[in-house]
Amino acid sequence: MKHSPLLPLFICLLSFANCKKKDNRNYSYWQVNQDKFSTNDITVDEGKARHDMYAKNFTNNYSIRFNLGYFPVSDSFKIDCSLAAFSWVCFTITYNGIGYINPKKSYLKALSVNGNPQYQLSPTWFYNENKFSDSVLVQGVFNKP
Amino acid sequence: MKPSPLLLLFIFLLSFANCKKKDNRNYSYWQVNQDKFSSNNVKLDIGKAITVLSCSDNGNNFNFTSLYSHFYTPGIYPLKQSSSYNPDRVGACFYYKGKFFIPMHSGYLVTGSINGKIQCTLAPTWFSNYYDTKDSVLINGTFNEP
Repeated sequence: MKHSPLLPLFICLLSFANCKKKDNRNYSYWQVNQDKFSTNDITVDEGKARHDMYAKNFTNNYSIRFNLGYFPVSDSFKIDCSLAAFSWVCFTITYNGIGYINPKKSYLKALSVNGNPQYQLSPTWFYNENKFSDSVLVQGVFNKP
Repeated sequence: MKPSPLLLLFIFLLSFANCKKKDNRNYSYWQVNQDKFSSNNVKLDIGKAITVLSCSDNGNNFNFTSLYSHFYTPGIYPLKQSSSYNPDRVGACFYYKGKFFIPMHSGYLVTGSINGKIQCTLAPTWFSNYYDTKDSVLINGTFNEP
């Protein structure tokens, strides 16, 4: 039986449809209390002054904002969102839809991994931005995708 | 007695020294609890992704941030909590007597324009101290592109 000439073409197209471009973007990993999260679905905004990086998921995400004009790759930066100093970093966590900030003195460590900015957070207490009596313990490694 | 030419020159220069270029930049007006503020020490920064309308006065100032240029599209935009990066929301924060305040649960910024310049209006809205949520203030105001 002779195959229709359209059949090989169909098989060829089908094999292409199964091809998916490999996603090589770096992941970020973090833990809030006992819950672990990871994502590489990150938005990066690099403006003239502000550099923002944040997960797109609005229920469980993190955000990092530097006001230095670049993403630093060395040094430790005080976590504080009050805009009072250019050298501070605004770091926030959203956990189960609730926003947590860190008004206590703590730091985010910046480094470079294979030329890519990475930010490390040691276990640090974050506070519900509307109720300081609610707090969560957060740690993680956050990579620019 | 004939006045010295130097004296005339001095008077002439003195009159220039009193001249000051009139500052026609629009003012912004806001109120925190019972304290009223106004300033035209305001700038609009339009970046690739973020637009910022901010006042640089010492101790008492404001900062509005939009991920997209919502300021140019008249509308009513919910204020974002400091942890939220929902692009549909607008960031708002204030310094009052040197303390930093962020929005509490809800609030809206109304954007529009007057004579081609951006004007944002904030109805009375509760803000809380970034370092102490028990400390809150009520803020309202009209914020103009200078």
